[in-house]
Amino acid sequence: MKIFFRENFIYVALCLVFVFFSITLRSDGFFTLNNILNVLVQSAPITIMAVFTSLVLAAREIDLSLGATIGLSSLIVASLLQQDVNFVLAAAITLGISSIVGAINGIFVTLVKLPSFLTTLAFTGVITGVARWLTDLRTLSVSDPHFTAIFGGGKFLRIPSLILWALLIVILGYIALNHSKFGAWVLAVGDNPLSSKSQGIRVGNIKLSVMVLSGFGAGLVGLLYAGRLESASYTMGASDTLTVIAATVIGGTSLFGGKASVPGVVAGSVLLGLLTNGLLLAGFSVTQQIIVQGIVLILALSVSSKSRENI
Amino acid sequence: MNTKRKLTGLAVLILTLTSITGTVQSGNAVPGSSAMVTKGPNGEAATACSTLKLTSAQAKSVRAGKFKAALLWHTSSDFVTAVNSGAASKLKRMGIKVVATGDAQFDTAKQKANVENAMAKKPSLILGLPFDGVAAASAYKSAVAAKTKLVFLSNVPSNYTYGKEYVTIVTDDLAQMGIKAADSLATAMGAKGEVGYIFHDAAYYVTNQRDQAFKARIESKYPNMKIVTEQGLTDPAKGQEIAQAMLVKYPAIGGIYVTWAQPAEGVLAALKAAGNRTTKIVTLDLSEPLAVDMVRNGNVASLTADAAYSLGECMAIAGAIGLVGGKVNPFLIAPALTVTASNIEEGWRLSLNRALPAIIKKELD
Repeated sequence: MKIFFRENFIYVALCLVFVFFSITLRSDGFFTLNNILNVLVQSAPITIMAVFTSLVLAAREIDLSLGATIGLSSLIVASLLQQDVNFVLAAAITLGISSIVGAINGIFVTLVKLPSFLTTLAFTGVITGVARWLTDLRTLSVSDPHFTAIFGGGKFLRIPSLILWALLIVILGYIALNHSKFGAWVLAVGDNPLSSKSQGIRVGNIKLSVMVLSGFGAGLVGLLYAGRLESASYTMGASDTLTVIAATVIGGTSLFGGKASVPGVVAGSVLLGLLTNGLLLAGFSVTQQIIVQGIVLILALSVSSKSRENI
Repeated sequence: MNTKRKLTGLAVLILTLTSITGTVQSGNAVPGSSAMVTKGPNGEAATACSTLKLTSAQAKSVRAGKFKAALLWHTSSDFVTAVNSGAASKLKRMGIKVVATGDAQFDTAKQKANVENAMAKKPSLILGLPFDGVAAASAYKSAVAAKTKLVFLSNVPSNYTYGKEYVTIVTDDLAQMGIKAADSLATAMGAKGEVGYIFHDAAYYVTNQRDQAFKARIESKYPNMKIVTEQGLTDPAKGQEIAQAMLVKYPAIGGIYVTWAQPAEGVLAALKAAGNRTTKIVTLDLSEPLAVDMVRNGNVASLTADAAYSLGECMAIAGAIGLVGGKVNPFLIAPALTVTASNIEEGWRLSLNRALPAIIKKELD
């Protein structure tokens, strides 16, 4: 029972929090379709980014520049759309650029052999600086209806497009991690890079690939934010990096590499979204919300860390 | 080696001065007398908050309506706490229940999420500050769609129409903030000498009007005072660097105006580091470290503050009038107050509705 609880802590926690809020906040609008959809929509960008981050962490690397890349990506696509570039082309260019950002991070990590923590931290400044310079700190509006419908603002079969995007990335991420050679290599490299190398796995290529994917993921989230908020700013996504890492780690991905769980990551990000939603509906003051969220995060991280020790 | 060090130091100094002076807005037009009148973001004429009152019929209707309100702010700070406190207290007295409070932490996605989450409680009224006008238009969409009454602090979402999407905008008397800061600096400097002007280098009407009013007042009323240097600022953490460069170029500078308190703390640090106890600082908003320096008779001459608690009350009353179908003028302002060492206790209470922090009180005793 103890082992089951530890192994599946995040799912148990998610269910408990959901049931708790459903009962205590039933007259406050919590348990309504609209509110549940809101939580899923608001969690979607974090979920998407967390799937990509789980690959990075699984490979024993980290990307602290993803928040900055999100902001830059939102500005690039907004700038292109304002110049009447076709929305598909604008999105493709943006994703290309964000992937290049990831590749640059990856090159410094794999070829120059700098720690990814320091590399991506340093690049955060560069990326933010470029984003600030791009529009001279201005926020850009995004009004292309096709773009906003597909990327973050619209619905398909009454399901918000953000949820559909998250579902797509989660499915692809799960398949990649659990049912592909690439996923197996990522986990092997994160678990023991030396042993992986001796078995013929190209460790450098794997690490470079996950960093490129992280950049791509941040670019995608930048597009989705631009579509959802119908605007773009260099500050967009700035505070998401730590939230994404927290969601990834409490979902069962190890900060030290070799272990990742896409379903766990989904549960982690939805849990964080539920907490934000529920505490606000419960009438907690902002200070109280922050304290409670912090306590829950510490508890979740502690249990998550304990479960890894016992493996 | 000694020569190499000197040359390197000189190069760094030149680069620093060049980069700082590069931000100087040359040819900054003299704002003129129009800069000394507060106007709304779309040029709306200002109406004093003190003129805003519920009639007894309106008060009855508000109480009977059993309305709910959400207070969704852009950040947390002493100022926001005071505004929130004023609003919450007034709403409660009028019989309107506050069902949600939020802090967007200057994150546009969080702001939208806060509005969406709060809408689950079906508030009839939302008070908030849409810090990014462009993004806020989307953030408040769900509230607009539900015909929730919106009262904004200081800023307004792009393309929102008064009377349609929102009830009113409430802010401080922006021009008076700048004018009072100018008058205070003039008093501290004996109405003569060189002045440094650190302004907010961004298109934001709140800070722009305050800054321009200061400049216009100095240039129109104090002929023996001269603004010798102007530095634009976007990052509030750069106050110290900017001041250091100013002091190098203008060592005889008698006073420095700083656009708001946070960078002013950096300016004070620069003066202290230079051992300068004579150059006076004036700035806007209350700050504990600046207030401590002020009561110690240091560099800080005055702090010009808005009546934050009153701003909150004003927002609440405007919202209540809007809820019962009444009309409110589009742009309301609360008064500005100059806080000096002699009235600091009263100033803190009037602005933030709080007792003076113990550390400042200790300095007074």
